[in-house]
Amino acid sequence: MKAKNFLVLLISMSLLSGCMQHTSVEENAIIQMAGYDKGENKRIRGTMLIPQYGSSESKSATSEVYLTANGDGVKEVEKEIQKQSSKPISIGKLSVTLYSKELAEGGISDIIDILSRDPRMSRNMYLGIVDGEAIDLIESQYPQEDTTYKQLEDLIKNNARFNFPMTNLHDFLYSYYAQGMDAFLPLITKKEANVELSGLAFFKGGTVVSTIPDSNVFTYKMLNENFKRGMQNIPYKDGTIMLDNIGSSVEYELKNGLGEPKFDIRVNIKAEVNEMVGVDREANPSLMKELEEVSVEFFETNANELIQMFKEKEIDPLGLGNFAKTRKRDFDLTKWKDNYSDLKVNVKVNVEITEYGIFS
Amino acid sequence: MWKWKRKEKSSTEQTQQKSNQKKSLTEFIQSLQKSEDFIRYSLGGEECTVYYIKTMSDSKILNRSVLPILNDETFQSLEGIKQHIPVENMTVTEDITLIQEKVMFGYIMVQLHHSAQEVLLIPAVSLESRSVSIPEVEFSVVGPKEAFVENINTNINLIRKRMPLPQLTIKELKIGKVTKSRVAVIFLDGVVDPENVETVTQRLKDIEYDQIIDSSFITQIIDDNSNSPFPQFLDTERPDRVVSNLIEGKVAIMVDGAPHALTCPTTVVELFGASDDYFLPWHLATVFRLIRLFAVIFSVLSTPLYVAVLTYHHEMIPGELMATIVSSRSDIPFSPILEVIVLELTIELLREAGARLPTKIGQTIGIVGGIVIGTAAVDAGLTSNVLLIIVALSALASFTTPIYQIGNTIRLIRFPFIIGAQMWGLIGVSMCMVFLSAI
Repeated sequence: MKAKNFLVLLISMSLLSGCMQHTSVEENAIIQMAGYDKGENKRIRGTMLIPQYGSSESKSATSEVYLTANGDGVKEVEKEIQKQSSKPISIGKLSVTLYSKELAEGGISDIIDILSRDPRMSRNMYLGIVDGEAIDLIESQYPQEDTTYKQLEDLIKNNARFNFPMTNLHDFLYSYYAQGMDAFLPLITKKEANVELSGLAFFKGGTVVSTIPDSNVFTYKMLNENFKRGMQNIPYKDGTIMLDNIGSSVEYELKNGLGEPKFDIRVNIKAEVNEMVGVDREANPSLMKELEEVSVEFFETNANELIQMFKEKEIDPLGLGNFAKTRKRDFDLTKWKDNYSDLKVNVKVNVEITEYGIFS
Repeated sequence: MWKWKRKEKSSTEQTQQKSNQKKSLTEFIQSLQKSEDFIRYSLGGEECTVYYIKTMSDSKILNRSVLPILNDETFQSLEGIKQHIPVENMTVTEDITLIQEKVMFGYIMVQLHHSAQEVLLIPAVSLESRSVSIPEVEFSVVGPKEAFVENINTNINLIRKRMPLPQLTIKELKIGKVTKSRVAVIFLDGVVDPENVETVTQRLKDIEYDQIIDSSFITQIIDDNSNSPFPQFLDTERPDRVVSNLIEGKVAIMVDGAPHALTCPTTVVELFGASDDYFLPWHLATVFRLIRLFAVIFSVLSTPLYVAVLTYHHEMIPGELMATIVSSRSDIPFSPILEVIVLELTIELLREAGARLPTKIGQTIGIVGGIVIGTAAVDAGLTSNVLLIIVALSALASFTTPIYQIGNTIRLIRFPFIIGAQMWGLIGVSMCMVFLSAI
């Protein structure tokens, strides 16, 4: 009886598996990069990049195909794009998704919702906000050897090891859904022959409300996470010095309970001085003391400005509310939000210059 | 674990067989006389007759020790002859079964005319066998280089000389209705679990089969689960390995005529252990054994994963590999499964052809087949480069197993995995894995 049941199961499974649609990799249009812009009449315009791999003899001749369609939502764009493609489109390999700043300022919560629902999407996917039109950025050919999607993916991935904070779909969705926390994404700008990361865009819910230039990104990353690399130039008298970070750590402390909360943010930076431009002095320990003081002042002013801006825009990308929520049991989100603009945040930076080389 | 599968045959059947065999001595002699190599002649005026099989008996013993004494004197009884002939272990008997067995094995039979039923059996066995040589299947660079031969006495000698202990016990059985093969059950008394010895001897006794040509016949008859593709006995040609297994408390089975010993019970991991492992320092041996285990997993899973990933789960291909795989696949007219099956069958074909051919030609076939067919298939656009590498590597990996039998198992179980991968993707592969661990 057991054997009979097993046989019936096996046969039915084999037969049913015949109904399954399957196509080999090369018969799919594998979307590697997608960009969304604001279209006409409140619709969105999606642009998908599909790499065309050459045959085995001409491996280097990888070209790209761009398909563009309008739709009310992401899925409709997908449907419209399918109509233009001879192969079934597959979005599982999507590695970079870009949204134009214009679209993001109008709110992209619907799109974010799709991102969190579709199980085929990789949590390692990179997201970005384009300063300009996403379609322009995607459809330009860049003189570098890599394909466009690879270049953008590596651009975001590598910079996350330096000045830019880590952002992928997982991190984004975490801060998007977490209570007392807001999301941020890197801001990407198309230059004439290249693309560059030009700053960060901060969200309030699903809407971009503010951006910072790349000169402030180091300060933000320093407040946001521990990291080991990255560089920051600091004005000193007439010239500038270049601090090369070799280890920065950050600590939050919530004081006074929830009644009158006060945050202490302590940052410890160990850095080397790489370069001094326009500084006409001999490098010695006493100068370094001076430089340390200048850097502390620079970082503290910058950080306070940033936090002031967050308070004005009522956003919390550092997740201070989330920090308080996880530590205090009677945390009340609405009350927290009401009092957020009065929150006292005290940033204390400690810079230690470990090496300054030999300057004469 | 040890299930008593084969029940003992009813005793009435056995006694019946015995009575059938019980022919008279004359009948036995008559049936033997049809063969040209059966010699019979009388000495001293029909007083005394000598019978033997020329091709089985040692003529030196006959000429030097038996014939001179029989010619010189006249004896009244077999016991008298027995006392005069300087050969050990002679028997006087009437038992026709024993007589038949011994004569067929090369004993010289002496019959005094007046006591027709009783005969004297003089051992003069001459057996042809090759000498001990180096192990070919389980070769190891370091360590002893002796392998078992077909002669069971030599084989037991190889074991005993490594373990001069009174506790080393050897039980002998005769199995096979026609071949009457000598089967020895060897164990180290006091170390071995007596229940295992009991089980093995019981199952061996219950075997009813015409021919036991090799030890592999025994594995197939007495194993726990005959439907499992995995070997349940460790089959080895190295005496040192048998000895170390005996010391671990295992039971060894040896068959006369088989250059391989079986040891049991055995575990799967043991089947992947080479004797080299014990001759090397522990860190090296551990790494090598892990490499071997990895090779086995790679060999079983690589092509099924190729099929599953390319057919169902493109998302799993890393971005860097995507271009390589897609561009090598783009000219191929077949689906991944067809491509894989064609190539795997080609490899199996080469292997089978190589195994059946003489060594010299076999090597040539391997090289010619591997290089020519492989490159030609890729050039013709029948298979992709990537797959060719995967299949070749997995074939190579399946050769790393030190025990030949488990290598065959790995060769076989890959195919259900490939079919599972095609039908249900990665779920199919994991289902096959579950089934595999169930059998």
